[in-house]
Amino acid sequence: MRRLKNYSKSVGYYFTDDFQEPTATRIFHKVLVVYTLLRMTLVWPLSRMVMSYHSISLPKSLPGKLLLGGAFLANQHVDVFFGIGVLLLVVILFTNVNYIGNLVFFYLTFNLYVINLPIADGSDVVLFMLSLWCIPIATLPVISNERGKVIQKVLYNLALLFCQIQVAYIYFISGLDKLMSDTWRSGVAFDYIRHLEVLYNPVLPPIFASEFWNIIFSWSTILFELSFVFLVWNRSIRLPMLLIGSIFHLFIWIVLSLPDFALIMIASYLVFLKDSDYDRIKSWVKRRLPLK
Amino acid sequence: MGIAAVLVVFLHILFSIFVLLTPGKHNAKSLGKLYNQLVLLGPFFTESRIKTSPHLYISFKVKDTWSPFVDHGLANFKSYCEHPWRYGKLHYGDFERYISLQIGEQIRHKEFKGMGSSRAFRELNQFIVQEVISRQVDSVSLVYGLNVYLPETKTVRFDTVFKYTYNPSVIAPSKKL
Repeated sequence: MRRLKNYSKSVGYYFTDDFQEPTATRIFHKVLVVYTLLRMTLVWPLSRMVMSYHSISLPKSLPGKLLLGGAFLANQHVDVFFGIGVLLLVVILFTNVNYIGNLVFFYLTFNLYVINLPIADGSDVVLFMLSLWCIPIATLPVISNERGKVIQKVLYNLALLFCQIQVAYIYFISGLDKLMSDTWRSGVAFDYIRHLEVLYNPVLPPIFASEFWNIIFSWSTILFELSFVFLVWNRSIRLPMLLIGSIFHLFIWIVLSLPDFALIMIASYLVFLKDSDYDRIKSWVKRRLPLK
Repeated sequence: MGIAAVLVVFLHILFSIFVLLTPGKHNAKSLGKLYNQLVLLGPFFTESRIKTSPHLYISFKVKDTWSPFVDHGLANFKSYCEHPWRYGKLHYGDFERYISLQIGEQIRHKEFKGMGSSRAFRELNQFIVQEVISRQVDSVSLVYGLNVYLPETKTVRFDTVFKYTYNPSVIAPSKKL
């Protein structure tokens, strides 16, 4: 019992010691904001079209009304919501990460999800969940008293870990579902995908026509998704896993025409990077580009 | 404080595993349901998702002549695939498929109260008339269904969910533009 307590204490220092990976976390946060800015700009005309015909029902409770205020504004004046949203995102992008900015960011992504529900894919819910966990990822305002400082660090580090867990879960759940499915285990899933007219890219040559390769593709997908949750925490395999994952999503982007999902998943990988990774990139660039 | 944080993470993972192992056993407003919907995202590309593809075919009549049935959503999707920078085309068909799915669900659950009374149908009608057809027409015919691929015979079967032919001018608009 004492050993468990000591172990918990030493693990506990991870949360109380300092803000973990501040540079990498800041970059992750900013990339999420850039992604949202891009998404908002791209879906703006589409949302205008959707809002011309589709109505959003107002919840009865006051917190519900407040939480969905943005979506209701968009329902009446779509350009006002998107205009303000884009402006706020630009402000968040160019200011230091702080709690108010993070709250606004979450509010925007959540309302964007509600507005775009008729045209949404998995990327919107991933985005707003990551932005929810990101709320405590802020070092500003600086808290002066010692206890407050510790609480700030703990919340920051917890939120960072929750973001990582959220991404890992996505793979684990999908991998588990595929493992339980005979259609996936036998490779027939890719034969089905090839016939999904509203998803499968018709411009490409028939990739999933071979039964042998379909089994290889199926099991590669299952193994990658199931192993990600365990291997992404391993120091030596982390970066190769993220590289494989990025290729996996780029493949899905092209073959299944899911650019939004591919982009948000690749962006979410940044939460697994460490400050030392950026230092290595920096020194690598410096070595190759001898700048004065 | 550190130990409390460890405990929170431990409970988060433990509860997630519990929810994962007990699917469908959580009330609509319970924490378990919330975890199921928001924390345990996915699974993506489930069997049901990849086995069928939804299609809405639209035909309209002008001066006693019917146009051929066209799946405009699919046409837009193909246009995106040929020109990937036309992002808008990618999601163009999503809206009509989303509304059609809602109508299909209403019919399945015997909640569909007729074309003029269903908000979803009014939304679909207004969208089709103003966005897809964009002209004055006498009648519209809609066929919504699912393409089901049969790997054993390598053939595709079309299962009709609903089929309506009606005068669009008698359906009230869902929203005033």
